[in-house]
Amino acid sequence: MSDLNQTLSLFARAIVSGEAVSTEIIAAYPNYSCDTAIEVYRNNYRGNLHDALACAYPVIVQLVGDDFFRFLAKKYIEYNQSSSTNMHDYGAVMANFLADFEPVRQLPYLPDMARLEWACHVAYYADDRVPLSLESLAQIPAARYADLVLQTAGQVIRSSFPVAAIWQAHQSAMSEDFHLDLSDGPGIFLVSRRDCFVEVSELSVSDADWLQRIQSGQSLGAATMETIERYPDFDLQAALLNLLACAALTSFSLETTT
Amino acid sequence: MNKQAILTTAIGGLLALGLAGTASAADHPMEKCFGISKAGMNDCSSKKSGHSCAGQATKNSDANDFVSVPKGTCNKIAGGVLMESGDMMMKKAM
Amino acid sequence: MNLPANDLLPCSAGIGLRAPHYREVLDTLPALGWVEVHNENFFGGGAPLRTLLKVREHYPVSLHGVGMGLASTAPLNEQHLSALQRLCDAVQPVAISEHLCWNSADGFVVNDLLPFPYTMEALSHVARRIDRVQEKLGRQLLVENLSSYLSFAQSEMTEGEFLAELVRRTGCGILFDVENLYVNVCNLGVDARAFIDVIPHEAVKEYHLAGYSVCDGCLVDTHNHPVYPEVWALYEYVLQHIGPRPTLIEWDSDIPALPVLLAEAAKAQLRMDGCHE
Repeated sequence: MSDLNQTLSLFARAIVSGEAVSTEIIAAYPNYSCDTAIEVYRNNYRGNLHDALACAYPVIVQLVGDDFFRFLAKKYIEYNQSSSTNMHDYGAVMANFLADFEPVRQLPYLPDMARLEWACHVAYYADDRVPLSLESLAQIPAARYADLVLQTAGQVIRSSFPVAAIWQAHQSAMSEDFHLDLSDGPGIFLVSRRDCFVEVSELSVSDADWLQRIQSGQSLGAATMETIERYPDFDLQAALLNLLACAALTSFSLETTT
Repeated sequence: MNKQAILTTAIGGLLALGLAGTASAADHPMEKCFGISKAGMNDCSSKKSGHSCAGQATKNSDANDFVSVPKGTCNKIAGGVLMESGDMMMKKAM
Repeated sequence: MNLPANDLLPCSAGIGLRAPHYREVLDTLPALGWVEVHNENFFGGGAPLRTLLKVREHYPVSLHGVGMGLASTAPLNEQHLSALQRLCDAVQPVAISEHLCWNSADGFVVNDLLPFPYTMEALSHVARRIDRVQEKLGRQLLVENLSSYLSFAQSEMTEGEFLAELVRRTGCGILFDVENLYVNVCNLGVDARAFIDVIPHEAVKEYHLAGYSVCDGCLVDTHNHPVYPEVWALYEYVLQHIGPRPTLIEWDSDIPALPVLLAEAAKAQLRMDGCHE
């Protein structure tokens, strides 16, 4: 290991893992000690990651309150080191963390809310995508429709709780005064982005079944027929128009027929 | 309806409505649509949030471990608490 | 390397443009020489990039990076660099800058601006990485001096000497953060005059000003306060010795109302106007 790498590695360990400070760092300064300086860096590290989590999970912040969120973030940061130099990438495994986090066991919908918020966060910072070209699609002969493989941009979230309604109640444009009941029931939601707007829309059971088949790479023909087998009322045209309206249809290819 | 008929009808409809521009989001019937905006989190200042000073950090971090009962809008969601909250006084988990 | 210089940056005062002010700036279009934003907040499309492109229609934009880690020993992140190049293509910035710091090494990522020892080894390492960035972007990078809370026993030169040598080796420019220097003077006993004397003045293309906080005797670069009188005094000294340059007011937490920020920029403009090189 190079000298520089060794030095930086020891410095990183002191900040992230709380290890002892290397003797390479000068111990005393005119107005404070080295311990003070390291504590400022540790504080920055935690503070930056806390802010990144609060940015990714604004509804959870409101649900649990600032003080509890700071506690929750501190625990999350202890168990989840940063792995990206872009702060917007931090916090991806919050849903799993919350599922095992004893102090929020009485809020069973919180992990699903985290999944929903992370999907919104990722959609918000995603690259712009060119929507599917209908002109190109129009060139495909109808006999090949079954072989179409559609690429989509949305993410499907399934929850046993009405998390989209809870999420909606916490958007700033909404009234602070809301009445929700967890027994309002389960839901399936599509998180997508149209232009600048991140959208959360409800999906029917059949639309979700079909979309998840499409997202797993099944061809249009196979996905559609399997969905119809389970849900005879499935309306393919409505499902396609729904995706088009959400700007969630991005491109297509043709599966080579065997 | 057989597979080919289903696909032909659906894609035909998609193309007809889509190319005519009538399948816009404005008349999208089932959508709940909310814009969200976020402040970017990458910046070049040192942090004040959480604990501001090194000396306070140790003191505050102890105190923070006792802030262990969620106290936000979760109280407004009926049926949200599945356990009696007496169980939830969190021990210091450090 | 012969690189296009960053002389597009207008020699006037600008502000660091942050999310709470996007709408008001676009609605009111205040008189401002230019604005600066943090690159990584615009990697991706959607609302952030759309907003920045609208701002670009009215103001010159400087792109200021916080995540590249010029001194990191982890390999230079080519994805990050490509994202920056795409952003440059979209925004056509008047300047591009990064900090003289590191943020990843040996499997650790620390999302902060961290100091390192100023050694010959580090000099070659950082110079190679600056070369790569400038080659990829096809233009000059401005490198900013860092505010630090500690220093390393193995340093073989000062930060000022290190920067001067980087300029000589890579043709990069210098973003001189006057407040960072002041923080280092108080925290580490750095000699401000020696720093100002040793850096090549013609390479200095931009100044930064901001406010700090004091924690347990340590000046912390929190960007949450108006510029202090001591920093204004140092800025005036810098103006006399190096000359006027585009000057930015940075304010990143406890962000004030826009007029307060604009008033700080006006104070910098007043001092620039009163300075005769």
